[in-house]
Amino acid sequence: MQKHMPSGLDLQRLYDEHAQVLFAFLLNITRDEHDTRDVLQDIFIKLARQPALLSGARDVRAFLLRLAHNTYLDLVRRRGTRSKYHEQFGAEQLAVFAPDDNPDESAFREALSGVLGELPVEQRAVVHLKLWENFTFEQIAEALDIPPNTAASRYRYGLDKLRARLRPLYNEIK
Amino acid sequence: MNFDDFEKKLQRQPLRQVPASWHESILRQAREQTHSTTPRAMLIHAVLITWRELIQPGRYAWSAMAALWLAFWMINSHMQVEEPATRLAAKSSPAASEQIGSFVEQRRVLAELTGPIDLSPAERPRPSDPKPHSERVLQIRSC
Repeated sequence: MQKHMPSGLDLQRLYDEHAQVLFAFLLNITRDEHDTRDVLQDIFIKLARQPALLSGARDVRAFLLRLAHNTYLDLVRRRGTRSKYHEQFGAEQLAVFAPDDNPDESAFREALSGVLGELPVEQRAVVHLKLWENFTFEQIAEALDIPPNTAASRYRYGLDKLRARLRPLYNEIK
Repeated sequence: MNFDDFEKKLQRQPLRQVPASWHESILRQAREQTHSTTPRAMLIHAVLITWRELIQPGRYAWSAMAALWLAFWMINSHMQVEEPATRLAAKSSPAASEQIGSFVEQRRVLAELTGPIDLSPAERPRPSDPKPHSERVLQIRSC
């Protein structure tokens, strides 16, 4: 799916079309609502300052997700050592999914959110882009600046962990 | 790559919506940034970026380096202040004036012994005539 950018930068339209995707991705990798907001704010400030950033983007959504990932990494670097911050992110318990009235579904989403938080952030980013953005491994590789094989293996490892941890609950509500 | 049932189940989980209150504030701040492109604002921004990207991550290292530099500067300036002071002290001390007196006396005696120094410019060495070595070589070769 290719989404082309209009010639003039319309921040309002850009926000309406892509903020939700960026929010979900950032919330899943930062595991912190304040950091998600900070990074989202940084992205739109960058775009407002340098509208030309988007001029060469073939797929705006993919470009913005790449920008979101890079801005997140900048945030991590600013705050200190990466591993320390990642551990902190992983420890956060945060609702990544919308609430549901059905208690079984609600419990599954809560458990999924928790298990996602236990994954290393690199795996979590790949799993998110694969499952909820429906990216190919080539697109993931481009967005996260990693080789496609690495993206594929991170997805496999991440999914195996999710499957192992959620299997009982999944079998129960299936 | 086909998704299995478990993956499909995960995909169906709806993600949380971006808070509605963020919309206005994020866009307002972004728009404010586009207006703050005066040279002063850009300079402030550059300073802030430098601080955030370069200084802040290694602030302890930068502080240590600054402290070291300050210490070197202080030592250096202290030594520069000390030097003329010691010269002045040497001038005013009686031992130094005695040494200077004996040095002047030595020069006077030396001048008496050697007579007046001829300060006229030395005679320039006379340029020597070119030697016929090269011609001789040519003569030998022609033979």
